[in-house]
Amino acid sequence: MIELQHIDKYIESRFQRIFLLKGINLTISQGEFITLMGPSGAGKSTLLNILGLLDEDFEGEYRFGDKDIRKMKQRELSNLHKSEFGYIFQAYHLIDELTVYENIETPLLYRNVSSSERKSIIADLLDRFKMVAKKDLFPAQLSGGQQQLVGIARAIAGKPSLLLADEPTGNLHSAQAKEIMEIFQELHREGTTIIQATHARENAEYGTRLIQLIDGRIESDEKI
Amino acid sequence: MIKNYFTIAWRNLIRNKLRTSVHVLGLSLGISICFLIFNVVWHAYSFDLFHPDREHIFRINTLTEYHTGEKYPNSGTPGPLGEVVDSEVSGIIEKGRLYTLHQTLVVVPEGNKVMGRTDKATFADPGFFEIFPRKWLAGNPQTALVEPHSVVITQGHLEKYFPGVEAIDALGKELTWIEKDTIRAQVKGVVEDYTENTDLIFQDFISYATIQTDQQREWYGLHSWGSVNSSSQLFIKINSSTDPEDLDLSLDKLVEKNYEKNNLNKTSFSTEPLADLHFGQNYDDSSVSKVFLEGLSYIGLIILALATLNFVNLETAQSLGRAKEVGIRKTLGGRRGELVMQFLTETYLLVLMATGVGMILAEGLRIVFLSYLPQGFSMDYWAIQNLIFYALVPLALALIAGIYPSLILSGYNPQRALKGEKNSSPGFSIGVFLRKNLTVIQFSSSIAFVILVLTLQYQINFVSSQPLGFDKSAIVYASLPFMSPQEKMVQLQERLNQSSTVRGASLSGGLVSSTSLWTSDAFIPKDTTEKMVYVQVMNVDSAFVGVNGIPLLAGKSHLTQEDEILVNRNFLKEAELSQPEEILNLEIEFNGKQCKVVGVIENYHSRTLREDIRPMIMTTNPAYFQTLTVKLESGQNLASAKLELEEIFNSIYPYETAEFNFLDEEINQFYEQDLRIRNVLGAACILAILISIMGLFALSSHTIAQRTKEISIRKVLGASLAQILGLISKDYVILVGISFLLAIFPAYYFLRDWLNDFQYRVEMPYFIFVGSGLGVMLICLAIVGLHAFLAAQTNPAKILQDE
Repeated sequence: MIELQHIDKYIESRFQRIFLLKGINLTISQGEFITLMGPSGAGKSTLLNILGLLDEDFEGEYRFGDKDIRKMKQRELSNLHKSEFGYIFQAYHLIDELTVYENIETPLLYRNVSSSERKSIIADLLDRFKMVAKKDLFPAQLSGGQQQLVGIARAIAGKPSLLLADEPTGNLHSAQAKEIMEIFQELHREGTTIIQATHARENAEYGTRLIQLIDGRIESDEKI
Repeated sequence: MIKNYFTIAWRNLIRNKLRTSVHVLGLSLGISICFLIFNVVWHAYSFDLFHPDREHIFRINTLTEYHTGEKYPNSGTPGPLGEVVDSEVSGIIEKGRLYTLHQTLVVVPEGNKVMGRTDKATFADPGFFEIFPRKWLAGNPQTALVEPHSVVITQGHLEKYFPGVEAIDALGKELTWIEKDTIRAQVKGVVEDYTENTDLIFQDFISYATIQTDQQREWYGLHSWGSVNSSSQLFIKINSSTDPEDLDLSLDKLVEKNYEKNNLNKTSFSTEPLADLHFGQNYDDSSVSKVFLEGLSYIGLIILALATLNFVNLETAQSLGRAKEVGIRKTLGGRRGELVMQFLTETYLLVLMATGVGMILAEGLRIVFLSYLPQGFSMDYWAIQNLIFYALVPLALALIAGIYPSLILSGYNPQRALKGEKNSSPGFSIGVFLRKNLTVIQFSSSIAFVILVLTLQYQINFVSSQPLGFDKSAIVYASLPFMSPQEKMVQLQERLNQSSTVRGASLSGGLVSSTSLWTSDAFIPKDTTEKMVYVQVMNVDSAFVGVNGIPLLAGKSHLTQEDEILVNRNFLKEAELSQPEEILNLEIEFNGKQCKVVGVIENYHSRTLREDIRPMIMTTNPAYFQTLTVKLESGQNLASAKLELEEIFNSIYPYETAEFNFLDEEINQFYEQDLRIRNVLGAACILAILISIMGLFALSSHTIAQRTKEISIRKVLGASLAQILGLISKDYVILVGISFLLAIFPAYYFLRDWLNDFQYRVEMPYFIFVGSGLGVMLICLAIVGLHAFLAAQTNPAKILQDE
């Protein structure tokens, strides 16, 4: 599904280049649940951003399916971005001014989904995450776990084939974290490819593959 | 999608109430003033648009140029031109002549009803109705004005003169106008009133043929090419193939034919398009100058531009706070175009709100400035042009004001925005540069406006406090009925002199000081030849000099004979004499006869201080007295004294309404135009300052909020409050300094031109320039200082802990 070759990412400072990622080669196939682990500054988020097309400032080759990302036009890239990717953040990043319902609706609006279809998709998601009663609340009125549930609902509303999660449980206590990870597992079982970056060893247990990053390099890559 | 934009826009606005109100209020001020000015300008251009073929209708104007260089434009034409113009100038399809009457007393003989005085009566020939066709309710359009002593009235006057009478039944009824002469006429037609804006205000059209004898023509001043009277109006309609410029050439030929070549005064005729009527001399003094309208439009645009700049400035500053939302939307698949649309929608919503508030403010402004608005001006909020205004202006403003902030916002890099990194590269930043410059422009205009207003006030104070050379206190005046018999005037004067409230009463041709001017030439004997002098002439009685308190230098001030004259000191100078006594008994040729100088008066200002004092001759001609001047005894209750005077006046002239006014009020009117300019500029000034302050208030609170951490660290390191205030204020002092430099040049050039218009003027008051700059700087520092003070008061531990 994804093939990375010789990915370098660096910051040019006055005297030297500081590498955030160096020589990353990685192949990801459909249906995998990958956990990226490593200490702070190892490059987990950077790699995730590159994978998620949020950062185009890198060197090396990135193939998605049979297409070379580097050779795609802005519009194709934007369409690929919309149709294939979903994002989940440590700080949830919900839009404060929108209700739960509207937050989940936003990606669908950008995908020009019809009004009736939007309603049924959101109704399903609210049902699934047991948030129907909270659909008209604003993010500030929810607990962290609940906010992250909305974040996940929003990420999968567009039915992406690849879900990227950057420390999804970083701000949650263990019971909430467990709940989130179980949802990930369920999504994975339904066929979604998931890549998560995390500090917590126990989260890796839910995945199928564990990649350890240290100082911008892949230290180890094992199947679980 | 649009709904989503509006929802989030609305919630954003509700959430930031202070920001929203500052933005909306600032912008609505700009919009309201623009809306009001738009309507005033629209109104001025809405006159006489409904006449068929209006672009082919012209009025002929006369310009008389004296060999001294003075030019006297007149909207009237000599009588003979009106008679021959269509036969001697080709291309004219129709001519229409008017002879307008002023303050004519209308009497309905049936029942002997006195209808009061009107300015809406005029002589008109049948051609006038050919050029300006009307809807006829009764009578024959072709023949109604052919016969002498015929009149066509409008429906409005029909109802006034003959209430309840049908138009058709009014035909044949008699009407009388008492002017210089008594005019009688029979109603021969009734036309509908105009419902749209028009300068053709007339409602009684008396047939031109009523002026039939040579004697009458002379009486009305229609007899010669040399007599130009603004009452004698000439309209023409040309065929579509004629070029108005050719017309002017043909008119020049008429001048050549009818005026002597060696005449000292040069006369020329020109055509004035109907569309310009409202901007020239019209018939009820409601005309406006295009320059004034232009000035107003510029002020409106400047204020709107200021408000818009302010808006851009605040939005840009505020946009940093929304970086996170941009980041999220981008990761969710929002494209840049969609984000730009979103922010533009938001801006549009704000501008729409501002427009709504602006309409309310505009109504308030309309009430405040009621006396400055043209009479008959009304603001129809649902008129088609205003609906277009509502539709287009917010859209245009939203685009202009919103495009820059939305481009900045939508350009954020999502992953950096989400991490909370501001796009702040060290060194030059276009955003900061722009914000600073916009602030400079705002302050420049504020400072410039302040300088203008204060200097205008300074000069107006100066001219109104100058000694005028006569005593204007406790003097009231009234107009005498036109052509009143002399014995009645003298009777009135005597009755007044008997009253205990009156110190003296005088009859004269005009007021001691007014806007009117009568000039003539006089010949002073000089050895064997004569020296010609242009003089101002006043027609006064024997009491005039005493009543008005004009100092007498030599001789007597009592004029009793028509060949006795008084002269002023400047006349003495023209006669090259140094002592007033030397000119006494000198024979001077004036008004076609030899007159003897019996007295010399001191120079005094008989006109505005824009003009120099002219050499003056006072002569006496009781037949043309029109003005009554009364000096009251000191210590009078002025209001009750006025009542008493009116009683006396009415005992002599029972059918007239006595209207006494104070002379000093009349003199203050001299500078009314200037006061108007000052007030309009003053209002603009207040608005500009208000908008700038609002902008600065929001901007400095934002900037200082960003520097709170820096302030806290400095405090921890031991900076005093004064040092922190100084640090924050430094930037703003520089900004105001630059604004000041930019402001002084336009202000200087405008003021120099304006002041040069006055013969008596103050020196360019540079202290006002400096003072205005310092004043604005103080206001700025107060606002910035307040914010900085608050920031410096917060506990540093608290702020640094958050980081």
